[in-house]
Amino acid sequence: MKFLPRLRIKLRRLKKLAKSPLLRKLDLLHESKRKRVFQESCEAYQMQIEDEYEKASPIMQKIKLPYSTRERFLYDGTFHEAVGRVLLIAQFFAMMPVYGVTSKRPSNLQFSWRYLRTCWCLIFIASSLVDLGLSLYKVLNDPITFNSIKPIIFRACIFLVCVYSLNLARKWPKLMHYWDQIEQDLPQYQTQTEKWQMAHTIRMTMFVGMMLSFAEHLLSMLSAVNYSAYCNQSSDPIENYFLHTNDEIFYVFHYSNLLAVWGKLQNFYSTFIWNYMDIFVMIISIGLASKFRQLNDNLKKFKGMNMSPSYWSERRIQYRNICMLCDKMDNAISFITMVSFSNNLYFICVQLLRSLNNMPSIAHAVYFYFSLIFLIGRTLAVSLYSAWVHDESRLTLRYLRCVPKESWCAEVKRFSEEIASDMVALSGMKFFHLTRKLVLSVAGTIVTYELVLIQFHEDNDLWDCQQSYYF
Amino acid sequence: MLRPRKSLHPYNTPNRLTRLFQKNGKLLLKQLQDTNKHWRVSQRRGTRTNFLYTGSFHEAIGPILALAQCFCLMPVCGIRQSSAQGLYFTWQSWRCWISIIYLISTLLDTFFTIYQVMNEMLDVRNVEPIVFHGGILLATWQFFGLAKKWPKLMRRWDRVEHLLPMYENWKQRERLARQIQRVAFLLIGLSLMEHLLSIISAVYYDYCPRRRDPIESYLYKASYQLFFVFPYSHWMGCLGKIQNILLTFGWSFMDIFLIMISMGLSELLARLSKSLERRVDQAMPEAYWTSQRTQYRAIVNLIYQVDNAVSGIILISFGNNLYFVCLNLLKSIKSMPSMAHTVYFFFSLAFLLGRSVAVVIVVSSVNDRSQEPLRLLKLVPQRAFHEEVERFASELAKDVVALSGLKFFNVTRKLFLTVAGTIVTYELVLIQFHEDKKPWDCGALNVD
Repeated sequence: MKFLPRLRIKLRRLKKLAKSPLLRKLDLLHESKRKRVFQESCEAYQMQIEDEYEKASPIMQKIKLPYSTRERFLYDGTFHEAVGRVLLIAQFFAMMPVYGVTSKRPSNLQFSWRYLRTCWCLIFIASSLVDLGLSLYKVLNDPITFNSIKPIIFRACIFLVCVYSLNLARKWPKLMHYWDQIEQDLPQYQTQTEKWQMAHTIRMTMFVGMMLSFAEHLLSMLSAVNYSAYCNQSSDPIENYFLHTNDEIFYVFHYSNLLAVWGKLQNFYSTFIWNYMDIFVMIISIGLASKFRQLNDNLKKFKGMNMSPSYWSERRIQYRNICMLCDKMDNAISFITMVSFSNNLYFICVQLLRSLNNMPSIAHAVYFYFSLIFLIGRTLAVSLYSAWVHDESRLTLRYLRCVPKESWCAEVKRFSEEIASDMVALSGMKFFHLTRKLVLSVAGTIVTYELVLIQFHEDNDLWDCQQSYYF
Repeated sequence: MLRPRKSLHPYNTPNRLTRLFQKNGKLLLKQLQDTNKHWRVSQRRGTRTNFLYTGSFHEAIGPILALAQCFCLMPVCGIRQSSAQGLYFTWQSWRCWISIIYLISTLLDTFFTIYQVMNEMLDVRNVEPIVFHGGILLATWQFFGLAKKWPKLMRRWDRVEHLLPMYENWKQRERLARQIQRVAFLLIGLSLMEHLLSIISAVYYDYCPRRRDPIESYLYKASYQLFFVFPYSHWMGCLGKIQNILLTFGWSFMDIFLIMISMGLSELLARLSKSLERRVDQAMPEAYWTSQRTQYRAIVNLIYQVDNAVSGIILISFGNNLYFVCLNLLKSIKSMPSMAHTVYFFFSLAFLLGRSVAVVIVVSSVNDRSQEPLRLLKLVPQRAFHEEVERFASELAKDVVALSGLKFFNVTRKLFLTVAGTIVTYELVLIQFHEDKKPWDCGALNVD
């Protein structure tokens, strides 16, 4: 059995030969240096391990292992899979008509004008265009103020977002395919909990957002019922309610039940879409940020260690890929971001201004303050989640700063210079980047506008029966 | 100091040395004398006090945290231990229980205040008690969270301190502790004085007595939000007053704590750049630069960690200061009812302004100090400009090292002007809406 060790040596050589000669040379050089350094920096390394252990130990105790079901092990942590059900819900509300969102692979995604969902989306767009026209007609007949253009802005935003989402749906299969390719290149997660994390965050965001918006809608209905009883334009309470909530329709037409139901449906859908555009921006940013985090987790694992140049070039390419993905997604959704931010800014200003008025009833006060807090919270959540992409992309630099001298090479230098000079963030049509600093400047803007608006504010013309407050 | 590279003559080195000595002999002698003097000054008979200080931040901040614990903040055990190893946090200690009780009582007090304010009209001025109570409630909560992280943070800090070059003498060792304690006790003293003045002004000129007995009347006014709900009783008045004192201390302590933390951090950076300054114009080997860069990186990582821990407090403190400065400037237009009121008001305004400015400047000094090595690196001679130096310089140039308010803003010198500008803008708008509506009249009050 003498030939066995020889065979092993040969095998090893063959394995080495699989790499390109340049890489092999680099690694060889590196290996010898690394050995030397390891003896010197043994103490630092030990300290580092201890530090990590200290950090990890309380977390390890806290995490309870969940029951292992089949689905959990089937889950592979892709964005396409995580976002599937969220998009399915949106399709019920006439947005993002792509076929195959819940399928296992993004290759099943397709868009066609002949699908039922696409037709449904087109019908809704047409109906909201009519609605927009009606409310334009109504508002333009009265004198225009900062307050009275609220329905126009609301409906115009819904219309724009709907059209844009149809456009986005056409690009979606390609985008998801690209995303999937990049995702497969990234360092893979080791455990199911890590894979499950992103999908969980996305679903919780969707769930909480939807529940709150549903609660807000119910409250608005309650207060509208209350208010319509107070204004009392006709004898039937139901008719009264519809006359109130859809005043732009009945400004032109006479009352009919069919129109009322259409108006109500339109109203319900619009409210959903109004919330959904914020949630959509949040979801995309969670997806992008968690891709950066996936890379950062890998870098963190090898922080301060001597890694080979090939490792660094691999990471750099991955980082660049995610940046490109971020850029592509930004191009795709930046219009929605822009609409969502300007919309939120306007509505916060209006609502804050309105909070100075006296409320006609308790139901109004409850609805009003709930919707104000919800609006501010939603805006804050959108800004913070979308700023997360930028934060997470900058975090990589910190790990690069800890690269020891021995493994500092041209690749690392290039990598760190690229990160330092790049601006990776979602943007609102490139007018502004979504960073944490934006939150403060938006808050400052709101306060300034508010102070100016208060000067021109008169108390009396709000809460009269002629204007619409409900969508 | 920039020195041009001298030409080397390898063949007549001894001659060159002789000439050099002749030329620079006097200078060298003077330098030697200076160092001698410096050394002599730093010598003292070895007594116990000389060995008291080790120069660590943990030791410097200990007495102040002990004082804070008397006021129910930062319930962490072992702050007076000789090293950071003795620190620990446990739920089963009396400090922790006192803190929790204080937190609950502040919460109740805040609710009462909100209830009382909501019964009147809401205004920029009327929400003052809510902002005061709410800010301190949040800050207390933050301090409680910080106490849990404190032992680990201090151990990390200790490790970084050991990495840095050693102190040379006892004077340097005690400098940090002396400085921090001096500033902290000065500020605490001033805040105590402000509180006393407020008591004096309230007692001296009781412009609308609610009750016959002056002490009762004072207690009644001091915790008006309680007696808005409950009928007057002595013990409740006393409890309300104690709560009031604790709140006032907590309000100042936020700022003091931030000042101390940033003094500690900028001291670390200053130590590094001081040791760099001595070596920078000499041709140092690459290993030296590696060690310096590693030290700097360790400090920066510590700053990031500290920032994660205290950035909530920074946001609360800055927001609070902004609001109160705006409000008090607005109030200063009004006429005062008496001399005591005027003295109290302007003293408190000056104290508030001074404190806010001090916080911004001291906290931003971390950012200033972190840029200092970059200036020194420009002096490195060409033959010693290794790759490590280049890396160090590029890191310095590109990173922004500063404490931040929940990452929303970095605290730098530029922030100071921005905040000042904001205050002026708001002030101008607020003055427009300001009516001097005689706040000193009492209306029809029932005295009982």
